[in-house]
Amino acid sequence: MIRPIAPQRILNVDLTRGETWAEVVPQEEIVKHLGGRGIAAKLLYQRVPGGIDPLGPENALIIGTGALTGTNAPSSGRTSMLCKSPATGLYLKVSVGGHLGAELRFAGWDHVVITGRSSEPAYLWIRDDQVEIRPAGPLWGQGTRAVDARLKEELGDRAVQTAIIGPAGENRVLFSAILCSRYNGASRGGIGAVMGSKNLKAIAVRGEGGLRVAQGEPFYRLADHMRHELAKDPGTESLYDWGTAGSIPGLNEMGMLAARNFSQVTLEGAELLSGQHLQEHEYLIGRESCFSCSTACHRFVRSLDHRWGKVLDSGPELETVLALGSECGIVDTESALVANRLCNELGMDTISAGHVISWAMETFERGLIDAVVTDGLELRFGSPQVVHEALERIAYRRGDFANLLAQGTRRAAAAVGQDSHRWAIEAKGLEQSAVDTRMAKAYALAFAVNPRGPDHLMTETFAEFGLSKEAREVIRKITGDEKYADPHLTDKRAEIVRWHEDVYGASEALGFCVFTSTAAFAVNPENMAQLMSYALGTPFDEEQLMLGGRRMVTVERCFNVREGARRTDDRLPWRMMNERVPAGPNQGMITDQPMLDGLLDQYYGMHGWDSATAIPRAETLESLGLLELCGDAAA
Amino acid sequence: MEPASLTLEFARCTACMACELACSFYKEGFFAPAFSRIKVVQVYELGVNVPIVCVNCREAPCIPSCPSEAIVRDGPLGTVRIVAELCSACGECVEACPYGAVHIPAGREVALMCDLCGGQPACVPACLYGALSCAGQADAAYAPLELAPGGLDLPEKRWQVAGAVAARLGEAREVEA
Amino acid sequence: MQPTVNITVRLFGLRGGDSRLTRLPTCAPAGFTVSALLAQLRSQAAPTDRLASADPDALLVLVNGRPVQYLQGWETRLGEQDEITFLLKTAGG
Repeated sequence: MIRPIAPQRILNVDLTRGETWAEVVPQEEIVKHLGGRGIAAKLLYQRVPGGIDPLGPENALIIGTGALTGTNAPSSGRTSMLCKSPATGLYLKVSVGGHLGAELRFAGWDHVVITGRSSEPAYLWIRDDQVEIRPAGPLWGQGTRAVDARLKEELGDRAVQTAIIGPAGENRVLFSAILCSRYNGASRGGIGAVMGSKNLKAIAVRGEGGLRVAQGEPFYRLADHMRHELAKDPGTESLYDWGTAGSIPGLNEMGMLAARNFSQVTLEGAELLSGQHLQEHEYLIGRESCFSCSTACHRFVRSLDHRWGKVLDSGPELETVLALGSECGIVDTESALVANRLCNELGMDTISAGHVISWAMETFERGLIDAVVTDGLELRFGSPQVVHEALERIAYRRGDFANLLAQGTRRAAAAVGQDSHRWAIEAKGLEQSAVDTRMAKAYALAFAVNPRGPDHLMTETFAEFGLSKEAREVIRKITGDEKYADPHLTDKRAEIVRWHEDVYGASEALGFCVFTSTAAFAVNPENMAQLMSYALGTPFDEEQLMLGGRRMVTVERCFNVREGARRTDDRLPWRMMNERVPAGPNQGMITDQPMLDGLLDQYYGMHGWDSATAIPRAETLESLGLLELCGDAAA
Repeated sequence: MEPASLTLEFARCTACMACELACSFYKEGFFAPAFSRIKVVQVYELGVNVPIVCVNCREAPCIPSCPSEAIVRDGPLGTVRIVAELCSACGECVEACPYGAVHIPAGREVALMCDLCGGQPACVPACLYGALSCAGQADAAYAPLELAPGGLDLPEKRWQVAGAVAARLGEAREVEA
Repeated sequence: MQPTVNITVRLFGLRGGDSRLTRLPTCAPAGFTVSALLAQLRSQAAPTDRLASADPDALLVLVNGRPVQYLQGWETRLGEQDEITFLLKTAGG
């Protein structure tokens, strides 16, 4: 079926009753909530009431493809997956690349809402408008790669796109992931466990249809122009050359490299974890793109001496080599490749897995737990074998200690006690990404207010570093003066975060990779809106686009309010708020409670949320046209 | 005259699918990989991506396979192409092509193959990785390659061709699966 | 004789395609700017060094670990014992 870009179509799946049915999202809703994360957030709000068990049948797993996914809009193949998080009990959106979203679009579906629980292990097979829930008994228990191969064989088509949980998701590890298009992780917040709790082992998609935009020629030309502009950005080039781990040498030189559970900010030998090292020493044998992307930041690598095991796989990304490398005190390339492969196979989030282990290492090194408590794991910094063993045990919940780690750092620290929460690098129950939020203040604010927990994957304010002309121009546009392009300042951080929230949201609603709009800037609100206008064939401007972003951020806040979240939950990990940067150019910096309070006051004020509780006011919801949807959460 | 074809640098292909989007948009006016004359096969196991497309074989088996004589070689580049008005969508050419470069999309009553867009292939500028260029030598793209055995369905045939290219590339890099 | 300062230049990824860190203890005239230092390094670089060909906009320049954007930009003046690091800019993560 060749269909127009609007209306959008929802595939509803009730796994309890074994039923599927279609629904339509009319154009007015698209103009208001855009698509992707925006529509999905609205659906989550409507379908998942407050207080339900995230691992119960009432939780919904919602896939939202971008409004422009499947077109030649550059790097527009990103897909959002939403649910209530079992790790935090709050709103969760994860973003994933690869080719799954595009395949869904060509199959004729823009969103998939999965509720209920299958009585037996099952997989969902979507072939254009034919949808089946099929038995997955023989697949249960297997690693993600084996399942991918078996599904493609069973379905007789190797071009099928898949989304698969591994043993970690089946065992409801609270940081288990869904592996899409083989090695793209929809990873954080325990989304894999939600899929596992529904007895859903996999989703397979094949789409032979197409998409028509209203004004084809101008759309194609503008998208092509944007693609070329993006290619000229040095940031884009560096991503092609070295991938995301290309930032490692710079981070280390700037004293911003998280090491040894964030107790250090530099690490000798960290360049062995870098993307440059992978390329020069021939670990790197290929570069991979997501659908429609001309950056190709993904790596394909092999191990060389295989000292920790054999690897021929995609990855590793920056946060992965930080979490499972430097944070564990390990600067061994082969170890990082194996750890990444294990997380891919077992289906686990590398950021959380790494930080749970690094927390356990610090706890062990401090003598609060010993090898008896850890079921024999000698959890010292710098031990690759222990990391690999721990990952396996966690995925299978082998032994009491691994079972505890599988619940995430917050619960593990609560169980061990003895102030071990002080080095749990988490907030809201989600482990923090390895960005030093003591020295980058817009990052600090963005992380604290992130509805899913403290990471960079809801709102990343990279421009505040002002390292390029384009970044400084963005800061000037937001704040009126380039001088605010300095991460150490607290002034204007709320303005910077709010702009990035809206742009991030709009990007994710349309399907754009946020590297194109917030790390490079060739994709911007103006040209995104213009593309939407050409696609829909009706006027659509920058203001509407940013409003769409603002709405989804507000809906997400309201979801959390309904779950009981308040201002006090908007915080950073204890270490970031209580221990100063120990060394390097940022030595002494900290984001303590008074500083965070100042930032939060500005931010809530600008949003029109009650300052004491962080609950949106009714008049704010009214002004965004959200009173009907979210009025039950209003102050 | 040496017929020209697309030259394919497999090592540069990242599976972004910009070529498929450019092709379907240029030829059909919408975005649909299923209607693209170039198809990228991802050999995930080896991290190699293989565009499958007509390479204007010097001895093109599709031409004699057509019972309606709908496949001709003409034009300044000696391009093999399908004359749509004569095509009955019988599928003989799909079967005859050793590389899986001809297909009939669902709901369409004509076979599709790349005709180099009359000389300015739309896919070439769309690929920013330089994996595609024009005016190479015919047959060069997949040679040397043992022709896939007959009787395979189209997806399986494409997979075999892609797998062979990927294995060859892997050998050159000393990569063992 | 013009007063000089002892500095260390750290180059990452800019020497003949090798991304190892190159450390060059050296002297510079007192008050030398980062811009002048770069010009001098480029004049001494082999043609194959990325240092010779890299667009200055693509360089991340640090003085004692601080991006020069937070100092006086290209006009930042070098002092005794300063460490000046040149890398190629990266993005994303």
